[in-house]
Amino acid sequence: MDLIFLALSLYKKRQFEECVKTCTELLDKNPFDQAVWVLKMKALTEQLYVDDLEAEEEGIAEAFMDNETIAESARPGTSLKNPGTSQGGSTQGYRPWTQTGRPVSGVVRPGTQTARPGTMEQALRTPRTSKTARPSTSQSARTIRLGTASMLSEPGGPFIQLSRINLGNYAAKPSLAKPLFLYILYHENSIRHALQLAVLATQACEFKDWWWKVQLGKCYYSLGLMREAEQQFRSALRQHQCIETFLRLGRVYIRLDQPLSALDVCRTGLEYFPKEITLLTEIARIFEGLNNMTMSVKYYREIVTEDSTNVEAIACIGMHHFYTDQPEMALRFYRRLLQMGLYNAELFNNLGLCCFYAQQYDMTLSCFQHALSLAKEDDVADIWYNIGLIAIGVGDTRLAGQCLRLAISADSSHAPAYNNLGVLELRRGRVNEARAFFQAAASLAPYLFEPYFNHAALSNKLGDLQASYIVIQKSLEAYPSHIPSQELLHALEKHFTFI
Amino acid sequence: MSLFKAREWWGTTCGQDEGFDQASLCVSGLGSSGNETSMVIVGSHAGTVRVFCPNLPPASEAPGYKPSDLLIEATLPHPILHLQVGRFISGSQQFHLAVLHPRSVAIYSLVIRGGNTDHGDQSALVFVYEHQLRRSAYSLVAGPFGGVKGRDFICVQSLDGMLSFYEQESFVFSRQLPNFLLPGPLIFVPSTDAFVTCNSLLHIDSFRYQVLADTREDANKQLTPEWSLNIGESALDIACVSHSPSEVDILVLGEHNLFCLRDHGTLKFMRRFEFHPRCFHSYRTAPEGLLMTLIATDTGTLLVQNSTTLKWSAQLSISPIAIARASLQGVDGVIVLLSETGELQCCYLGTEPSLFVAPSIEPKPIDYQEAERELNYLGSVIRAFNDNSSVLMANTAAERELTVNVKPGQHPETRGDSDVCYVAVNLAPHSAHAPLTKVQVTLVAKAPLVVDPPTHTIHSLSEAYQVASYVVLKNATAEFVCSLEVSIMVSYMTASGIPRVLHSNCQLPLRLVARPSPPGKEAEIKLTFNTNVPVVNLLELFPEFNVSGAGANIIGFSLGSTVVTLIAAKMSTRYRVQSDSLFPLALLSKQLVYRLQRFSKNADQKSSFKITSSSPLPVELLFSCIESHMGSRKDVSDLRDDLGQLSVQFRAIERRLLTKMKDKKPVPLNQLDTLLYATQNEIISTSHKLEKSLKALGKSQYSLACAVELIHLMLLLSDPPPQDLKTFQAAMPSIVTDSDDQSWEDVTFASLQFILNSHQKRDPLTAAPANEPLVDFSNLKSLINSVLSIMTADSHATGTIDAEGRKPISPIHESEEVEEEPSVPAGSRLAETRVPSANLLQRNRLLPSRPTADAVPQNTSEVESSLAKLTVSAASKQNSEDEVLWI
Repeated sequence: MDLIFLALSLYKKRQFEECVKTCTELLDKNPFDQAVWVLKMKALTEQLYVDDLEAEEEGIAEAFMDNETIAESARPGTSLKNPGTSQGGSTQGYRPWTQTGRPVSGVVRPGTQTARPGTMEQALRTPRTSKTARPSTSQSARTIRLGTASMLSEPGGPFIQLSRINLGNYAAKPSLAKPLFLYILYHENSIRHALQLAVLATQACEFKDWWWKVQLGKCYYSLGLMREAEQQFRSALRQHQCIETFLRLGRVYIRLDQPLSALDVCRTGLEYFPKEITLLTEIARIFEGLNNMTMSVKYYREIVTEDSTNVEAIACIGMHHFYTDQPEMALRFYRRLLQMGLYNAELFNNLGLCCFYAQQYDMTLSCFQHALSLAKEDDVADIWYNIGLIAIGVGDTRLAGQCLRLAISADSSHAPAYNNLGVLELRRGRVNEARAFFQAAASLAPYLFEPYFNHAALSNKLGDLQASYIVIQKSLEAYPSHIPSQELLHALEKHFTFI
Repeated sequence: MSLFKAREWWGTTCGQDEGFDQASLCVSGLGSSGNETSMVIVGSHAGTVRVFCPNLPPASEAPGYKPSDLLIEATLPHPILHLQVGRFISGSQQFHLAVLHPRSVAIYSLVIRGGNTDHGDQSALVFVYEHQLRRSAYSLVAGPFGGVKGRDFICVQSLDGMLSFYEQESFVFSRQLPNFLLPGPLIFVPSTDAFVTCNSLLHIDSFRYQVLADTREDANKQLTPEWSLNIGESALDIACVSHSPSEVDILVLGEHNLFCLRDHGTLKFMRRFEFHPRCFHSYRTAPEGLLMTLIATDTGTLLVQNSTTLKWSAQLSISPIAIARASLQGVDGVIVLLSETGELQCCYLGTEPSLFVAPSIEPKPIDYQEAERELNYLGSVIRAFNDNSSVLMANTAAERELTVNVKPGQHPETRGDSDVCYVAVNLAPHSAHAPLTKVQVTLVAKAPLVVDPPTHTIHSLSEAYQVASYVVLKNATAEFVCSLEVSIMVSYMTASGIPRVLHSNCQLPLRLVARPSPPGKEAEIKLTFNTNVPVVNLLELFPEFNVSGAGANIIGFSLGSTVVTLIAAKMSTRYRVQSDSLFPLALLSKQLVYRLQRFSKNADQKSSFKITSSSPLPVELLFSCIESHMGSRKDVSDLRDDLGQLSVQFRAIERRLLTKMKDKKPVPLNQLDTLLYATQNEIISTSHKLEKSLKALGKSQYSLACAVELIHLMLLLSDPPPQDLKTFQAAMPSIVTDSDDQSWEDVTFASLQFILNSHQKRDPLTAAPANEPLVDFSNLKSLINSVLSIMTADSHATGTIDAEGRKPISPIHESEEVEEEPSVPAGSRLAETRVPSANLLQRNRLLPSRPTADAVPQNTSEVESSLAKLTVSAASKQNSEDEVLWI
């Protein structure tokens, strides 16, 4: 059989390694066979292809070297940076917040977990471990880590020496230029060369090919040149409407912190591609980022009617029901996920909590047993913490204390567990331990208001009014509309003026 | 990921490793039957063609395959690349099989002879005719090109983009496709009489048959497509679905999207995938005319879509490479799947959900009484652990499992320009059958002595083993060494998975740091020790220093550049240690006391041996050490602040530069580059300064440690109550560590304040918060003075130390005890020890990234509500003016 046919067949079957091997054999015989050269390039690219729309993460440098920001303090509800300001959104009292200062999301995505530290100094000082690493720039670090060529050693040097290649020659040959561009972008991850090639190629085709414009935009985007990227995407959209272009233009606006423009773009996209799931998902995520849960869930519901197996949508709707006090509804959604074959610790944990609040106590413990047996390192602390909560709920403080201690032993920086341990210690009358726990919790998680409030209330009780006054202000900083905090503050102020 | 599962109805495996492809499956009728009953034709790359006519068993029975379902299996001489069915023989309306080989295309006809007996029918594949190809073939298209009726023509696409047309038995013409590099999918659209393919520019092109046929003479003329659409990705497969003559959809399966085009080349709809599609098949439902698409994904899921809406998804048991729809025995819509390895299946979409049932995790029932007993036992262990009364309990068991024997080398070796001492740790497990796992041996020496390598790891230990490290003096001269103790920690997991820790200590030889030297006559600092027994010959006490120049009553040591002289009184029972510098005195005094005690023990003078010191406490020296330490700490922190400011400035300049660079019009840099260079130079010089002052800080830490060590020793000799001494040693540790935001002074100040308060019977907690940095040195000074005076006042006037009951106290040992010390009230200690550690941990925690799909809801709100309940109940009980009451 013809080896080229075999290589093509292997490529179609997504057996890229064998395909590359076959191509290498062919190229050894005839190094000038363009078709085989392109096929090998395509196979190498596909081998390492990562959907960069899904795997995007903002790096430190992007966050702080950003000079595109329009307003430092945006108007309420128009910025992703201060989601707490939106009207009618959920507050910390109902739905817990993550360290980013946004409500916890139904699905872990890149970007939902990374904190946005206040200053660059703070971000740089944060020690970077494998678990907490945040890339210093999104372009270089992250994509390389997800899948890279640099990890695969190639016998006989790299396939293409980028520094030696004459990009101008290739740009003139459009059938070679496109696969070569993708190879440079995804396999070599050399944005500079890719951009050079894209500029030359788009000139060569007299700016008539929308594909090159999108690729140019992609390059500009990863180089942080947002306005240029926007221009390219817009120009491409005028020529040809494509889902990916809409998504990428939306991402540009998200990076520029203009979520409303991003929403507009996605809605325009929906006019061309009604009910497109990726666009709907994007809109739902933006609303979630803006802390507008009602709208977010509305769009997630639309996704579910279009694609009833969408895990992200089901999980997010389930979580919304859970935090709006409808655990029975949430239970249905999570059960559906279980029936679909999702089998992991997070799901069982959520099922256990739903069961507990839906008063199906018999199922609660077995769900948590499952969750524990499936849990990996990062989740185990949260699961023990939740079991601790259940124990508090049924009044077994001894079990609760042990669970919370287990949570801390699994993750020594689990602030909510410290806080709850503090409350338990207080019940047993150990004031000093309790205060130490509250302090630890507050220093670990300044975004939680509970440790501050507890600490302030305790200090107030002990007569340390000054400390109480200082701490309660921090509590209100974390959660401005917390009524008990406000009342405590008023009482203290009244007391001080009286003195 | 789906609720349902595709049910296998009929299945078999074709050969072994014969190689199959998207084009290896063809579902159609052969012979005269046409399209009414389908046959499943499979051709492999190994050259075997198989024709199946599946007899579906009733749905209630298990999926079955009968040998009679295989109509024929024939091995052809060449690999089979593509199969098509059509009316390929002129004058015949029957359907024949076209088989594409790499260099030829052959037409076969299936002949079925009815059997007379029960043996069934007999089938044969009869070769009809063949076209030899000049180029290597890639794919085959059959259809009524040019609008002929009742006949099918053949078009072969070669690997280099040449289309060769055959009107049944005769060759017609061939034509090269433009913009060709790699062959893509090619189909024929009957309604427009056009060929649709995907070229290497990632465009979908449509060429009319008429145009292809007309331009064949003029080779110079560029072949122009009828229409072209740029889809921006290469196509895996193209299909054409017609509903009515006027309405034809061309479906293109791209690598990341599904496109649906109208027959004039405009986009009807598209859908973006979140997975990699493998193959697809599309059709229209009979009465309603809905456009349905079956897509198989690389995760083994079959998706059934009506245009863009997902209608059904089912889990497949194989990962198909080709998919088709067949009507078998009057059943329409049987899904035929072929996998890469040749598994062939006919499936239907079962509507009964195959609910995922999580496997049970509780294999054995719980014996509740046993469990309760165990729970109580564990509870008592936990309580005991919290009370810290029986930490040793666990470790006595550990000693039964492993014996640790430490042997320091008695004679330091010289390596390079420094002396090193060899420390060997012998590990002897008691049972060879249960190996200990994850054994880690950690050796810790007190700075400036450094152990190299500090840890040894043994994955599994079942027999005696020896590990060895060297102790080296690093970054300082010998005079700053304040302790020769090395502590060894061995941690391991027992065979039953219980972690254990063992501690042991050893003393390094004095020769590591001290050398014999001529004794000095005079010295600034003198310490005098009294005993109640006659003076011992110094050479007996320090036998390794027995060199010329040392007498029985006087002996000299040189530590680094300092000389320490030890004099034993001739008449009285006194010893004197003297030197110009304070630091080495700590080590040598300790050595002297230690050796004297050991000597008296050997000489069996148990009851009577006492040792006291008549010198005053060297408090002033301690203060000067503290002052210099605080000074260097301040230097370091000042420099750090400078560095922080400079780097902020640096980044600000960088940012300004970046803005200028990004600008489209080049603008002058306005000397920003000069500023950048200047700032960078400043940063570098500040870093150098910082390095220097860090070294100075290290030195001052060592000297402070020596001074504190000496104070401890002197206090010990003045015989205070042991409990007080322990507390004091814990409060003023001789291990000087400075973290970023807390220094030794801060910790010591807070602890001493606590001692003082508790001594004065005040509430110890009214002390200043421990985690505020200390600014005023004089406060600390007066505090130390007052605490020391308490200590000395407490000691009994006649108090002496019983040599038997007390071993030399090693600093490391003490500090460990203190951490577990229950008698130190936990309040402020807890805050000050926990909070810094929490600080560090917080930095680790900042960015958790979980690769999993679902978040765990963290229900902190619950705590708040439980708190609220607590407050309410408390308030109602106490009905006081303040509603936030707790206890």
